[in-house]
Amino acid sequence: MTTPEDIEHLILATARQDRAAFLSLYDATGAKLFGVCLRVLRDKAEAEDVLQDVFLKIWRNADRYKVNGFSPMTWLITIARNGAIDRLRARKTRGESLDLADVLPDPGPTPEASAIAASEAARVQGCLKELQSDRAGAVRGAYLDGLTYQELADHYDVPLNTMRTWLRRSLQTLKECLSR
Amino acid sequence: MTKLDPEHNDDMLAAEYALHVLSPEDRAAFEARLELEGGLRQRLAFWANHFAGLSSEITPVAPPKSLRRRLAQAVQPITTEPVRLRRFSPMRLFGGGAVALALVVALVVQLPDMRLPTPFEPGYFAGISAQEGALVLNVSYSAQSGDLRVERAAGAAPAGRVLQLWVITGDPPAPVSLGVLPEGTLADLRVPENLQSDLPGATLAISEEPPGGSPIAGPSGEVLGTAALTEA
Repeated sequence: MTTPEDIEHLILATARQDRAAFLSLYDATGAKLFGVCLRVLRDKAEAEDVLQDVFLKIWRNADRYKVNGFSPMTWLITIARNGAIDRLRARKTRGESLDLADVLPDPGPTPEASAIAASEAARVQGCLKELQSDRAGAVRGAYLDGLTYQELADHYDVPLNTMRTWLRRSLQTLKECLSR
Repeated sequence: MTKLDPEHNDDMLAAEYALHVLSPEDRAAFEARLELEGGLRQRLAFWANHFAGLSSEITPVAPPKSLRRRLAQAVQPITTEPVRLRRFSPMRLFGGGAVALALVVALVVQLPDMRLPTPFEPGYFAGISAQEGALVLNVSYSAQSGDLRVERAAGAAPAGRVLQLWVITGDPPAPVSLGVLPEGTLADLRVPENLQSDLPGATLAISEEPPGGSPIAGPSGEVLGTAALTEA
């Protein structure tokens, strides 16, 4: 198993334009990030296209990794998620709709070994359990599936402002739990 | 409650940003603040690091083998014809409103699988002369494509060292690497998207570095020469 330290080491070497390290980083994290893109996009060809952009971005911007205080896997996942969500939203502006029934409710956690610190994963999952299940579902839907407020509001059949108030309350509860 | 407590509001904004549920306008406004406010970056890191824990639910899927080959090719140190890969940044364009949005849609519709090289049409040039003319680099840059071409007209890196090109940018100004020059006399570099608009008029610098380039954020070896990148 690759540790967060290994991943960080590879990102820092990539920042020095070390091609071998870059490819090792791809080997260590490509499948995870492909999973992230697939989860959001639900389309293999598009996810592959986005993943390529994501890794080129990692190659070009690895020197900026240290700036933001993200853990190494968080940094990589954030780039992948943002790339996939940007693509998803662009696709939606073309009028292609997504069947939300396929997305929510979530099938539930299927934990697996990864470079994400296990404690961190357990922590956020544990705190989500303190929320009502539909509210936890909304946080998951936004994070894992890249859903917008409007889509969440449509799914839970509440007005947009209500959805926003809901989610913010959930986030506040999460914050208190995570800060304990 | 939120309006009365700016810290709480920032926390919620950071969480919404991390979840990617903000509107494009709010997202851009938050990003502008992120550049300036360290406290906001900390709030965001808190959320991003915690939310990333949710990704443990995502099963890894092996990407097609061809992708690894394409990436390996794309990061080759020298290409006389820059490797062209599809890339676009809708979020940046969203800020421009409906016209930009239409452009994004057009790009999305047209771009897939187009990898035609665009001709290199530089509009900016810099001549870097170092060591009393013993080392001469002619740099040309196309602001349209973000391609930078470096022709080494005379001289070379000291034995066992490499040449690294920098742009002085930011506030306060600091050198940001544009890449290590290959051994050949002609190098095509791709300027990272986030630096592309900084280049016109900026000062370029060349330094000598250990193989692989400077191990630190700025030049570690001697800065041999500088020149401004000016319009032709």
